[in-house]
Amino acid sequence: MPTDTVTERQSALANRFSTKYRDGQTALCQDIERKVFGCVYGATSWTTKDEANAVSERLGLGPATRLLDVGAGTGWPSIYWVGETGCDVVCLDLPFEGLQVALRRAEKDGVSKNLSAVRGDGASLPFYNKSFDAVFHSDVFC
Amino acid sequence: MSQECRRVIKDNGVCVFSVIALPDGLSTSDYKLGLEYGPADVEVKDGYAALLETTGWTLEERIDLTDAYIVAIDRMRAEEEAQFEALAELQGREAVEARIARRVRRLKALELGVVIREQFIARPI
Repeated sequence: MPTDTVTERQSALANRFSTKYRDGQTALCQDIERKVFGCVYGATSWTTKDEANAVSERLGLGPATRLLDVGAGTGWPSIYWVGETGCDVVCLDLPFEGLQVALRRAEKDGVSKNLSAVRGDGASLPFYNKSFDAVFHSDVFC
Repeated sequence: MSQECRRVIKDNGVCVFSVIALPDGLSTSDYKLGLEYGPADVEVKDGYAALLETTGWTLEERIDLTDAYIVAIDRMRAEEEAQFEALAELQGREAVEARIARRVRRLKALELGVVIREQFIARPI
């Protein structure tokens, strides 16, 4: 289960995204996602598969990398990166539903040992100083 | 958030992020148009490059992703229109109509150049 570090106020914000994540698990939305992004992870950002591959290079991802994905949603592209590079990822987001989807997908893809999920706010990260090699976020500011 | 990311990253780390934003140097009227058609929630007044500088980062590279974003959002609009009835059953007709209308407005703003999608690659100072 994702680690819960969220207040009631933050939960209200998260509710906005919950419906999106639930709908993203339907065959209809997955079919649309496949046609638009070239893969299916229930994604809500605009990161395409080509972009994810380029970002992986820029982040220098590999087995020794600990990556923080802020606003990770349902885990795209972090789960994909774990499978491709062997990096370790912490997915952080407010909506519980998205993180649950991410954990289930990581389990299904056989990469759950390298992926953890933390429910939290990007404005107040629940982590120690200097604890990550790389940080990624996609379309979180907007 | 930028400050917090700086706090948790190692000194030799790297941060990559993308934003949907208004480009620098817009006229007042284009700026208003960008706000109307662009990102709804957050407006970073002085731009992301300045934000990085003030929060302990060195900007290594910025890459314009707008063309790929236009392709993706137009594909999404086309797929949502093609699957309209099924989506309306799942999410409600009004919600789907409103979302498609937002996509059309966003596409117009992207084509006018008053909204962009950009990627930033930054390292700790």
